Amino acid sequence: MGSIAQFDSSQHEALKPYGSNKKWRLLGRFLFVVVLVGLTSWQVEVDLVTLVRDLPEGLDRSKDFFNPLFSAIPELIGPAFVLILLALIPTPIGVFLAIPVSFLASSNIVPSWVRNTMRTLITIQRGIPEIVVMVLMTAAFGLGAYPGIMAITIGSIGMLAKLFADAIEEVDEKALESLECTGATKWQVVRYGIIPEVIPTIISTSIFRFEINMRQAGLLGAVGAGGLGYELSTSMLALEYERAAAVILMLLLLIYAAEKLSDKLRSIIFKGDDLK
Amino acid sequence: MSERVEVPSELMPSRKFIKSLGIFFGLSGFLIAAFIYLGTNPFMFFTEFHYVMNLFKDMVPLNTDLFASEKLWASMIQTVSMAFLGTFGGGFLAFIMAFFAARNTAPNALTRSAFRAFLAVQRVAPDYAIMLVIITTVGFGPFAGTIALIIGSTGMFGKFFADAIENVNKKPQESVRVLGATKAQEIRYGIVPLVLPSFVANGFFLLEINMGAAIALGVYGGGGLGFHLNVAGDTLQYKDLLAYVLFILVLMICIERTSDFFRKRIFNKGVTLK
Repeated sequence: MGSIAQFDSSQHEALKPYGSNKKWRLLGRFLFVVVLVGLTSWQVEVDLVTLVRDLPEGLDRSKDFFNPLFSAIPELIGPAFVLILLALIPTPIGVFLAIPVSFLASSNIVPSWVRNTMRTLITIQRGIPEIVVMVLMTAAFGLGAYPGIMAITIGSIGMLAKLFADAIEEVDEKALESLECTGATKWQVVRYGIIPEVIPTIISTSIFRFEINMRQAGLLGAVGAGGLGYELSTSMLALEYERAAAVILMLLLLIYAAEKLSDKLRSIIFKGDDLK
Repeated sequence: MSERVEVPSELMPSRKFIKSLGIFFGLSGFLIAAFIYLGTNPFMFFTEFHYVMNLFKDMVPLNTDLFASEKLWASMIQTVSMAFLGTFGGGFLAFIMAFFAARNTAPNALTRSAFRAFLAVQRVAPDYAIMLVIITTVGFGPFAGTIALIIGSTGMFGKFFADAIENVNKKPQESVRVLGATKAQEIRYGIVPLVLPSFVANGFFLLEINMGAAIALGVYGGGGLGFHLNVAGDTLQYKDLLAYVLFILVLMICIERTSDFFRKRIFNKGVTLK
């Protein structure tokens, strides 16, 4: 009696030979990506022929970049200081403003309609890149450090408020409930249940944001906020590539130092437990 | 005999209060000094609010004709293309370089440190500095911006991918090795399937970051939306400026939502190379 059903390997998805369906699907995906890359390359005017032809000439022109003008470094210390300030000032202000916003965006502190409204506002803020805020602020206040500080501060608020609020919402609900059982008021629940839980996240996220702000400060500086970024764009416009190379070198060192410092501080806070 | 129980000093309210007071005054002092050094008034936004009002009056009503213009949509396609190619090219290069930079897949220690150092320099180098160098070779335009994005993405993701490869579960790789696989097969069947979902998911995250970066690079002459935004600001076409800002906002939110959707899907279902 053939009561034992024949084991048919073609009926089992996992046992199907690779040859059949999957090969075609993979080929389809591959072609899709190729077409997408082709279309986008056409859009951004990729010109490999010219690139290859002009590369020796371009490298020849850019060899000045490998010969930084070290004598320009003393006069660049002032702009470097401005760059650090452009990143340092917005960090505490951004944290200070992001904390109340994040409280209003957490479902375990405020009613859900307040939370959803705040979350929408945060999403809208995060949809506007710092450079766009900078262009708007420059249109209102003119060039200078002020629009740069405003742009970086506003950018910090959106990101920090979102991350803080996520941390607040992750606080264990049982701990808050047990506080409520002891008769704690809403404020006391926040003060003794939530704040101690989220303070490490707030500090480490803020340090991480400082690192991002260092990069942003250089970028916005080049559009007119001053500092090293501005020195870079003026050197480039004046075709002083050796001086530009010195500026880039200083930018690299400062950003690298900020990254190392931020890693170090965060690992002290988390005792080796890296936040990423 | 009664023993006096000392309250731990860090719990004493007065000390703690003094400490936070110190932090508060230290920070305020620093901020005041920094604003004086920069010569700016921190409350300019409020004291000189008429500037904001003037700008607002100049911007409203926004130029809705722009949304129907070919210029806007063409520049949007250009910016999205820059971001896509930057992410794809950068992710691809980072994927390959990560295997040379990870301890468990690198051919030898020297190659590993060389690739690690190379990726570190790329990661630290700001996009705009890279682009300004590239412009001297290929000239202004979206192509220069795309190359800068590819280089920046490689640096950012190379290290991340390399760390992911180093932290991968060793067991699948060992079982593939036991079957007599070559080094390449070991990587292909023992490591790639494990790290691929996180690579692709983070690729979508990178696309989001690169959208912002593509707009920023456009401002420097990289073309696309950023370029037109800056031109509108510089030529005082504030009605156009507002239209660009709103358009960028909607575009960024759409990209974020799409990327979120795909990331959630990948984490739930995974991706395969089969």
